[in-house]
Amino acid sequence: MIINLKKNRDTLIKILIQFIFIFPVIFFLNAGSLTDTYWKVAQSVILTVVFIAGLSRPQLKKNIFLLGLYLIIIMVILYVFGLVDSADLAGSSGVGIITMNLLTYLPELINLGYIKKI
Amino acid sequence: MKSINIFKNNFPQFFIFLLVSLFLTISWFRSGYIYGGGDVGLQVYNPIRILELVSYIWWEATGPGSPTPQGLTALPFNYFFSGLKLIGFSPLMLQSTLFFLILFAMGTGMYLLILFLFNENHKKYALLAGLFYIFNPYMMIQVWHRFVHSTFFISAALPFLMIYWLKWVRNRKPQSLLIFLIINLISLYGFGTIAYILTLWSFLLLITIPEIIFPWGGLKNARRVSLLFFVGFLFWILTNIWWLLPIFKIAPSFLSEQHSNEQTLATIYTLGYQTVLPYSLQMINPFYLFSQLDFGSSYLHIFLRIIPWIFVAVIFVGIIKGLFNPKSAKWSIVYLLVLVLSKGVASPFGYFYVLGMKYFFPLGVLRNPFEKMGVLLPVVSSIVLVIGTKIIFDFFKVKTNIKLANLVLLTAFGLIFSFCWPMFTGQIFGKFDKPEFVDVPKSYSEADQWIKADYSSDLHQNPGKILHLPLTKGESIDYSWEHGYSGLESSALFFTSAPSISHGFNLAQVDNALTSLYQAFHKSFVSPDTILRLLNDFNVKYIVLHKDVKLQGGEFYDPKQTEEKLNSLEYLTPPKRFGDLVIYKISDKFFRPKISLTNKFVLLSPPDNPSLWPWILAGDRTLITDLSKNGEIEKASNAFIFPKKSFSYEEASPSSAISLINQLLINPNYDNLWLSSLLNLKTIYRANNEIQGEQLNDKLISASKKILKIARSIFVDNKIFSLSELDDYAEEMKQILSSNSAVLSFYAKDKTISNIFQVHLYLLKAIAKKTPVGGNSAARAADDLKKNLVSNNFISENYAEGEIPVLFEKTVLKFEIPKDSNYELLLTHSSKENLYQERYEKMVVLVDGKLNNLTLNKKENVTSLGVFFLSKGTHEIDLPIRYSDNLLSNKQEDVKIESIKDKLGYFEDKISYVTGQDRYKVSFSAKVEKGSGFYIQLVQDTDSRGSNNQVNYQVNEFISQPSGQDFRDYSFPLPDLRLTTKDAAVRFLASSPDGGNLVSSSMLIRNLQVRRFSDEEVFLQDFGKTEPDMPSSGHISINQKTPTFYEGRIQISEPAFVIFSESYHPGWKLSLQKENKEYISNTHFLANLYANAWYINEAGNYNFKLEFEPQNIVNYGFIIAIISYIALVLYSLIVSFKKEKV
Repeated sequence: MIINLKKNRDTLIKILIQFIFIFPVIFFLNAGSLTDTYWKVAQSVILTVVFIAGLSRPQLKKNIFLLGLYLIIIMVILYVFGLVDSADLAGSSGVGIITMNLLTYLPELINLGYIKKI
Repeated sequence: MKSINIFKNNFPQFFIFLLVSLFLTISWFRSGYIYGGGDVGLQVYNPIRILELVSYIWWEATGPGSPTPQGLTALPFNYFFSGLKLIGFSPLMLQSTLFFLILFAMGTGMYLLILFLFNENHKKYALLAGLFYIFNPYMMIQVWHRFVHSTFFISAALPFLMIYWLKWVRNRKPQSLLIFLIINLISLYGFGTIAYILTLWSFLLLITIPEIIFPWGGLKNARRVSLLFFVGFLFWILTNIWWLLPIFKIAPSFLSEQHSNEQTLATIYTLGYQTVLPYSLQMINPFYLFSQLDFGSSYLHIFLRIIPWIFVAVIFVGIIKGLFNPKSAKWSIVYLLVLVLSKGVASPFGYFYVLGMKYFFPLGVLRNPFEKMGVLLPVVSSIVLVIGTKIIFDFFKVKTNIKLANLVLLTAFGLIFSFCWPMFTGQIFGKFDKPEFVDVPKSYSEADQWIKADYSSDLHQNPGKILHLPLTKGESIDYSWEHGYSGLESSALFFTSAPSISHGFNLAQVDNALTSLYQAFHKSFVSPDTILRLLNDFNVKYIVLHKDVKLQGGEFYDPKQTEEKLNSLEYLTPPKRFGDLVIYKISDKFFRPKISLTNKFVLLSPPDNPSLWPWILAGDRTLITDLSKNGEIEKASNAFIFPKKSFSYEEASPSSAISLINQLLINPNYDNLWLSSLLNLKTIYRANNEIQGEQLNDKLISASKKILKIARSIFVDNKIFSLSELDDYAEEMKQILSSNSAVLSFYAKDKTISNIFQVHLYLLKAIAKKTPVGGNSAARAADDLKKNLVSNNFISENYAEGEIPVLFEKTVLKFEIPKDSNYELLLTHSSKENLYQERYEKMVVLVDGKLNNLTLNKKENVTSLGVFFLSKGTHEIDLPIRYSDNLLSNKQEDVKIESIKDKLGYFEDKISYVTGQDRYKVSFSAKVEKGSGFYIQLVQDTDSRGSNNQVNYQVNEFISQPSGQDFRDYSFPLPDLRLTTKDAAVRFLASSPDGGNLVSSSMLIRNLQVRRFSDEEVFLQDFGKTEPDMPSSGHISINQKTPTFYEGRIQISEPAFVIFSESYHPGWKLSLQKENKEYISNTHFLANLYANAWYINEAGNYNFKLEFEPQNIVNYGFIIAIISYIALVLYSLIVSFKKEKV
């Protein structure tokens, strides 16, 4: 029990440290200094979480990939109905999630030149 | 042999591409007209003339000349097309040949690329990819419709360049690199858009890195590929050095004058809204497709909104499934990277562009990433589309049968290609229902022939220029030809016998001089002698009046008025008419050669805007400006010093500032009223997507609220304020005013901001007095603020600071004095003196803050205000602003305006005595009874209608004012009227913005006044100089060898200036030879506000050479390029010889 608690605490600290280092990079690339566009800030948080989740929980990668694809499908539907701003929000989040997820496959891509399994 | 095999093996596919290209070309040109206009103009109209132009980096033909090194990239193309023209190709044949070749290269290039990347079994998919590369939304909208020829070349060359580059880095065959460089040479025209250099090499890097890391082939492989990349790059540089070096030596300073960093960032932010992912994934540009409806309204239909998603879906199948295949995984990654690069600042990960452009100016060439990097999208899309198509086809084949799979494939691609239906019907150039056909009237070639015949004997010994009127300040023009013409001003192509002065260059110095030249024909105070002097200064020999120019927009004077003026000038020969063109010639005895001598000159410190006064005041003396300021020409007979900088503002009186501050402190609701101008600006910036402007505005609002909060805590709540709050405020103000000064000058043009800053100053001073603790900090903050406000031209250096100002509304003039001397302060005459009740007799003037009550003394053309001793350096002179009487007919009465239901209520009052460029101040009191505010418009007879049929008013602003409050006073300057405005009015609309719906509104207007600013110019003249004797200026003979090289003889009996009537550029060098000794003249001056001058300080007989030195770089570059090609050919031969031996 105590070991588990300690393990959980260590994992939590590790994730927190990862977040502290990764979030500013993603936030800066995504939103720059524009903190007034709130959805870009939120999007940066989501992309950071997705990236860290992909790194620390590889079993989630497939679901993350699917989430990205679903968002892209939602983008198409919203676009066809003329809701371009919402479509952009969904689509850019979808492509962002897929890109972040692909980054976690980089070691495999470098080793094999392709991905064996998502 | 190998290429014959490729042709034999793929003959049916090549034949299909040939038929498709032929079909499209016939469809596009079936009407028998060429296409032209836009940014490109008429590239195929006269390739021989273009070849003459682009052979030199100094473009003499677009007078008064400019350095255009990027034109060199058009050399290979124009050589080829000049050949075709010489064997009898008409412009129509030339353009259709070009388009056919581009289309055919696009299709076959992509076809061969797919075969190279995958294998010979992919012929079916390669054919589809080739067709998709021709028929996709990007090619239709961004390549063909945009009509930028460099993009044609780059998109046609990219697949071929990619094949031979990959062959080079994979197999290390020098032949591959050689073919890569030859393809590059053929498609060199593409690099006329400098950004495509970055596009090409970013792409080559993107496709080379996967060769190293996907999969990692070891350090040896990495070193090998990196070395090959480097060698390839080096050879590319060496073989292209002849145009690269001149561009990078000359273009940066030239481009930085044309575009500021702030303009670049504003552009990229604005375009970011057009490249959001839903659009960039489909490769469409919504501006042309949906906003302008250039291809008709059918694209708004849901069916056509769905179609592009078919190929996007196939691409995504290709991306995802491709990741599992060693051959295609890298292309999925490359596609995503290209997509991120092409969409610019749009989400996700768009900020790196802003960062790059903020701190690295040259990246500004990518300010339209969807155009510059987006050209890669069709290439990578075609590749992943093939992967996706094969997967889907195989799936259907397995699940159903091959026939059904083929049917699905054909249907899907049929739908994808049908999206580009305007390409098939030939409706892609111009508007869908109004193609951009061009039929240049015959009168143009007749006029050119006439000038050529008249002028041929003088061509090299006595070169002169053709002045085209009306003279556009920009680079484009509209003609009312049979099919119209709207685009790049192309007189230099139509008139081949002499250089044409026909448009501006987006360079302030030259454009100001050209504007003055044009205005001289239409200003009543300019005498015929001054006009002749201007024509001589610009080396004009012929004047061509274009009566076929469209006059909309108020940019041009009516050519009929110009014709009347030209007919009255005695030194012009009787006009010769060719259709809508009227040609005048300067009589030989009045013509001044291109290179001339003078020792009659005045030293000029030029004004910062177009002005005719330097020419009027100088009489027949040449205007010389010492740009290096080394004080070498002390001998000037006279000096005119115009202000380096001038601005006007209203200085707050202590009583009004204190009463405003009291109101602000007591009533927090008053904040928004005080900051209403900034809040209004915020709405405008947001509507225009000017994010930088909005950010700056937000900072101003935030800092203003911070200082009010501090003041309230001290004066209302009697608390001690926190020093950190004041530091916070001071830091924000510092950011606004100093580190961001360029952004500030770009956005904060509204001088009402000066009033807000003055309240800041008053508050800081009050805080400093009141609190012993934070007093020092507040006083320091006040000092810093004042210093920054002065340097940013918001307040005068002699700001009254708590005392009653001597001048409340004033014009501040900053002069750069070249030497210690007595100077006379002079005012030019106002053009409408009778409108001003206040007559000139005495005037209160501040010279460096010192009060002077001056008596005015009228002279010819000017009024003297007195003489002052001024030392070398910067000096400030403040003058009162003079206003005319109220120029509106409604002088006193209150006006009620009401909008009810569908009826828009408005009030309009005409301004009297209007002429173009007048500047007014409007003041009124308004009360809103119903609604949230009202609109004010400035209406002019030159207002034109936009593409959406809406009138383009110069002022059309919504002023927000809550209903129910008492009358509120407004007073602000209006922008200068357009050049040719004759009638103008102010209009008030009782309305509020509500998505185009009319909102019931009601308002009252009181004390409405429109008063004209006085338009006299102020300058200093050095006092006490006597005119020297005028000895003979000597004799000069000229022989023009090329546009960049002149030689001849100079004989002078006294020291004199050599004046060269081409645009000033430090690259022009004059060398003199006397008795076998050579002198290079280092005293290079600006002459007549745009041209070159050198001072020869010793009398004698000289041989001279005048050349544009940077042209030599091109010549050396050619030698290096040829040697590099030869070296590579030799190496290739050695390698193949060795191979054969083995």
